[in-house]
Amino acid sequence: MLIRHGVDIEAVSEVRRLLDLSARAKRRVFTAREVEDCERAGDSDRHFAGRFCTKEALFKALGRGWQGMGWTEAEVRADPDGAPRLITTGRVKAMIEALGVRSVALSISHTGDLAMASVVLLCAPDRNGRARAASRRR
Amino acid sequence: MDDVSCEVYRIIGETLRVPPEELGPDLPIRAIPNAESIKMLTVILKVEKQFDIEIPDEATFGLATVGQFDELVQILAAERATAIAR
Repeated sequence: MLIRHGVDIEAVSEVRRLLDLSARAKRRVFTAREVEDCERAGDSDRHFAGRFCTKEALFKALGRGWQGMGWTEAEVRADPDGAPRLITTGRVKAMIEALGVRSVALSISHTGDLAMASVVLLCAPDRNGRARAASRRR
Repeated sequence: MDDVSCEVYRIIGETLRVPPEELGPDLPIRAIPNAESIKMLTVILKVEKQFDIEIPDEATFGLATVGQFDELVQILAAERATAIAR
């Protein structure tokens, strides 16, 4: 198996400012379920920031920056025991499949005004034992 | 530079803290020190609000320069103006 890794750290207050920019901001970045989960939890700003970091960390693990990535195509859900897991759809899911991802590990952490996330993708190599390339979209 | 471009450059300059004299159409977005994803999302949300448009995520794929971003906003703002006029 090959490993791809992405990590991101953000100030919780900066993510809050982003979401306060417009009425559309939340649904631009988060799925309806994520908005509901974060707003139901106490201290929603920290939860939004952790999820933002997760999406960014995933994009980095996929070898991509912010451009062209569907922010709502990567959703963080909490298991009944509270552990976060990633659900992907659309083009992000297609990229994950193209890379041969077999397992996704996600960890989110917070302290003070900081949130961070780490995403590890375990990928099956191609038949030559090399890393697969993510398909170009468009 | 028309009114739309002036606003786009103003928003980019203010948000990414780039002096106006350093902003030009050929400036690569990746070359701007503060152009990390959260700042660029901030730029996008401000531009969307300013012109009452929506910039699809996929439309940002391959945008390399400030000028290309400006062109995308010009197109979407013109489409929005046409839709309102109907």
